[in-house]
Amino acid sequence: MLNTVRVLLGLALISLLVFAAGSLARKKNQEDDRRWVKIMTLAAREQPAWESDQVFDLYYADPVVLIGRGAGWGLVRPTDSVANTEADLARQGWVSLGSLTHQELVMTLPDRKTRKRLADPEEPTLAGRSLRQEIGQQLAKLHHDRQGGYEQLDAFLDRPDGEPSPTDVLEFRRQGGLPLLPGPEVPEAGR
Amino acid sequence: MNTPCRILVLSAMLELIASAAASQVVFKTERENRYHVDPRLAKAAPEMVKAVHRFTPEDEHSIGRAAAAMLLEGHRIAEDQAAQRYLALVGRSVTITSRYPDAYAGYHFILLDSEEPQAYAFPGAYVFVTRGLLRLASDEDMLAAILAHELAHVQQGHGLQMIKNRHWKRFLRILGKATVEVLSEGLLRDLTPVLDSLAGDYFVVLTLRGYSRELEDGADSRALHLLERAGYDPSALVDVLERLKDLDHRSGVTSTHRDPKKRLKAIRKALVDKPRVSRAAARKQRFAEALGRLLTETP
Repeated sequence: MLNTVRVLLGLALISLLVFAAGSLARKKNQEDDRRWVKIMTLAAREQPAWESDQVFDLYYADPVVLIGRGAGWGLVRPTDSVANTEADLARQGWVSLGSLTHQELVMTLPDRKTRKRLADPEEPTLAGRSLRQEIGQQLAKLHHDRQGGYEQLDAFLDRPDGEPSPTDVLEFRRQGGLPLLPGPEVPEAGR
Repeated sequence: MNTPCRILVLSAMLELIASAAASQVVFKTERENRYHVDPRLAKAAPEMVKAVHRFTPEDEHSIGRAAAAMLLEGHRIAEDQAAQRYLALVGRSVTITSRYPDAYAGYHFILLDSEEPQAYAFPGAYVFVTRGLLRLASDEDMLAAILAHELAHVQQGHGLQMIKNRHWKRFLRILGKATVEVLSEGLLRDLTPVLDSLAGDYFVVLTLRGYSRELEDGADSRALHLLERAGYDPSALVDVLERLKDLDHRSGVTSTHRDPKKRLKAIRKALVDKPRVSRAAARKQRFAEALGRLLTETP
């Protein structure tokens, strides 16, 4: 009886190890397929990118010049070392700041050549993606069913007399007899 | 259950957990059918991933925006721009003194042209209230109380918490069924499809079922704190709930929120030691000016 248990436990562990090893190999293969970053025409709320047009692609490890920032998004253009033509240099687009890194980056391409970028505080480098891409794809599938909802939402967000500025809010508070400084903070549960 | 059976169950569970760790491969497998993965594992792994995934503010915003679009398929945004701006000013007035004065893509307060009294808080800081719910408020402090309760859900991440719990339950259910199949082939034929979208999940959970009792109580407690910090009268939340409890329990906000009578008891207890805050006449006046016409219109 004890031997049976040992054999079954051994088989389970072997099966686990084989599966994990296979998964790692496939994951590496998958990373090779994820070497592109789409640089988009719009930022922030328009992402994930179903409503935005693609301006150009860059390889991972390609350096970019960060010329602007939105909420979580960076306006970038390719650097001289990446651009092939003058026209390339004139192109610019938005990319998630989560796709950029100033850290050293090593990427293995499908042909097994290695691309390496040293850490650079001036020119960030395009780095990896995450599960949010999967979420974006899932949401994109539903997008077609919700076109009217998106249009209504965007028309509202783009209204001329849009969201009040912090100055507007403070003036509103002053006129309403509300204190400009917040009351005491207390510990809270949650995040 | 004898020992060999237990070992088999343990073995199956280990295999499923390993598959969850390799979930991205499973996603790819389902899309492109390039790799062979046991279908039982393929069904369990995405649930595991959704349950443990740490959402970034960007993720939350994307999910909230998609859920908001779903909501707006069935509702119209009110056209009264003055009322919309007033709503946004009151909402921002509450957030600006809170621990989270800004959201990833900003806070959005949206008034819906609906007589059903209802409010929704979506991730990514989208807060919707209907004209019917605003009819319950008779001054700015009561409106701030309504918004503070919804903001508490947003700031404490209650929506995604609910979704994660739901995916944990699904994962464990599938795990259990798959384990049974190891012992008896064929029992898995009726396995419920599980690949709902996150936004779809969110929409269903929040618009049809509402938050759990614990999360509702937590939101009330946090709302009192938000109101206190913002300088509004926290007891305005009591006034709103007093009016809510007279509504039909099968419709509107009372169908997706906890029984107001039970909430009132907890809130009154929390307010015992709080100093009374006066409701300035200026706030009452501008409430009437901004919303008076909208709220007195015949439905």
